[in-house]
Amino acid sequence: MTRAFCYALVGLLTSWAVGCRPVYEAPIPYDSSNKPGTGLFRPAIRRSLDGVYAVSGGGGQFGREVSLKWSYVHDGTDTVHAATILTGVDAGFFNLEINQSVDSLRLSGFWRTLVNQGTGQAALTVVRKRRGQLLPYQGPTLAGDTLALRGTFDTGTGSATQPITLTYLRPLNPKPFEVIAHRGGGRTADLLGVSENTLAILRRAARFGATGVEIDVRYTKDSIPVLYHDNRLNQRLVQKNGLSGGISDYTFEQLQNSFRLQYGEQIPTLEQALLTIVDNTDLRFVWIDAKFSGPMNRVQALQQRFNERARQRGRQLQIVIGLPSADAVDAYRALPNKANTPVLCELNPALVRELDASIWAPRWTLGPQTEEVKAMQAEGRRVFVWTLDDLRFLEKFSEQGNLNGILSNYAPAVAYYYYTTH
Amino acid sequence: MKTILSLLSLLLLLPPCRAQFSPATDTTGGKRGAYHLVLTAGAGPSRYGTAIGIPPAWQRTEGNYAGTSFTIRAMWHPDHRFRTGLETGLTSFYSYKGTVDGEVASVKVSAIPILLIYQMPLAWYKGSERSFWRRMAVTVGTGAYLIRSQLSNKGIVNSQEISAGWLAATSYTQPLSNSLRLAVEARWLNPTATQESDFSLQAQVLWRIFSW
Repeated sequence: MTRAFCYALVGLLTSWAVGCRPVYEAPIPYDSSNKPGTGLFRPAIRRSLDGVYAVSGGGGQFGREVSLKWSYVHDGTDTVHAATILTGVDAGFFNLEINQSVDSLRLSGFWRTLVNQGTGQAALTVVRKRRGQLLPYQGPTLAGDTLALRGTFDTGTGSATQPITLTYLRPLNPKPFEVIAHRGGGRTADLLGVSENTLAILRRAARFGATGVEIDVRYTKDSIPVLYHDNRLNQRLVQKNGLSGGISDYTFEQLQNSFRLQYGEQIPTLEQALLTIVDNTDLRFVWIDAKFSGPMNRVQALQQRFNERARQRGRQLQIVIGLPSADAVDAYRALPNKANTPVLCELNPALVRELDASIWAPRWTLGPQTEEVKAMQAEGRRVFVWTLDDLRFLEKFSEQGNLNGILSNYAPAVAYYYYTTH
Repeated sequence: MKTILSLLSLLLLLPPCRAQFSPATDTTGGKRGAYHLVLTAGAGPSRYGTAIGIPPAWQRTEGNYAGTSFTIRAMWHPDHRFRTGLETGLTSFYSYKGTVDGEVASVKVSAIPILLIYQMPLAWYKGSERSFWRRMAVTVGTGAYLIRSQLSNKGIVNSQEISAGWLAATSYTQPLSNSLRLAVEARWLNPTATQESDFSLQAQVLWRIFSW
């Protein structure tokens, strides 16, 4: 009897050990209101706030310096403004919205780190410092005073009581550079509240410090280009429905009817994505990663149409087609007319020259490749690396300072190193 | 993870170790007995044990968690109690139907297991060679499941996915003749990558097709 009990116990313990998987959860503790309007944050005040700040308080979890950058999302005549503060620690960032219910320059929102599960709420008020005293700021002129943001945050307790003060140091690094967010802005795995490669993440990409996005394009069975990263429809990206296979096994209508991405969104078309980027965001670069097999005509047509739409709207936006493989290169070569079709080539420099690609984008693990980078830039091409998520190497590549852009799942970290560089 | 795998490996080794040190009735002591190749065929009802995800766009939906399970297994029964073999078959997991834009749509999901099987009669725990406990056996399996799905909506799409997984079962075997036995087996199939689980109860025929 005792022996039977022992065996049952061992069995139960084993089942428990195998069955209890850790739950990775970093909830976003603040529901963005997405309320249009600027309140007291007039354009001149917003512009004056962009910059690098020294941090005091915060217990060191936000580093010694942060950078603040405004972004916006348009919806017809409505515009929602948001301030992003990039901390440089564990790919951390604050997402703050204008609090229009108070009669001061007040921002409310949350902070997150992408590398671990740090998160909490935050509220900051814009003030000016004069001889150590904090005074209300009506801006944008400071008359010798120093701009500062003062407020509180919490570490997931729900009670924002820990003080933090950010004191203005200098403007943001003005050198042209692209902070490119992978998979439309961020991965589903990073618990950003919206799924990767969706219209929702595209609208949020700038809030993560991105100036551009990389989106993954595949063809449905009826040749509609849609956004989806993986080779297969799997439960990492789509909600369980019993179905599997690849995007190209299903028509667009079947995908719309029977599949939802992890946060409930539908799989968007490339057309919807480009329309959102051009009409609704302030992003300035789009990297269409050609993960499809088959002719490139449809993607080229959309690229040209939306590049033109952006130009007509006075947007400084460039849409390029990324060529990650020999198949994609063949599809590009097969295009009857390559005019107005800027491409980015991920393969070797000789091929970049042969295709006359405007951007060379080697994998970051190939190293700095300093001479090749110099040669490409001397020929008038830009050089990006992908997909750089290791924060130590991200810092090294940023210090090196010779790249024109970095593609990463940790856009807040790339943006931090870019904006804070002297 | 490494710790869990090590623990599992040790647990798998535990039954054969126990068998080695069983009382004198154990056939591993003294003269070696015959080895047998045993072919098993089984069938029975099954019940899907995990939530199914019906797409939110579907209306007037109806899910069916009941199915049928078929198994073919080839086992090596040595003269000691630790048996091993291969198993395959077909288990219908679940189906659901509904309407999308006024049209009837349906999904059917089934699995083909391809598993390495280990089996041990419970005689190592209690009883003798011919007792009830000798006829009871526990079975575990590990390997792959080929998960097959069919969507019927604006055309038919058949697709399949390979998922790692395992099986746990317990059975009672009743001898009918020297080479024929009848068994009933309760089974739990668990393809882990696709987050499925299925319980089934099978009637099985065991045929000792070859001995040496």
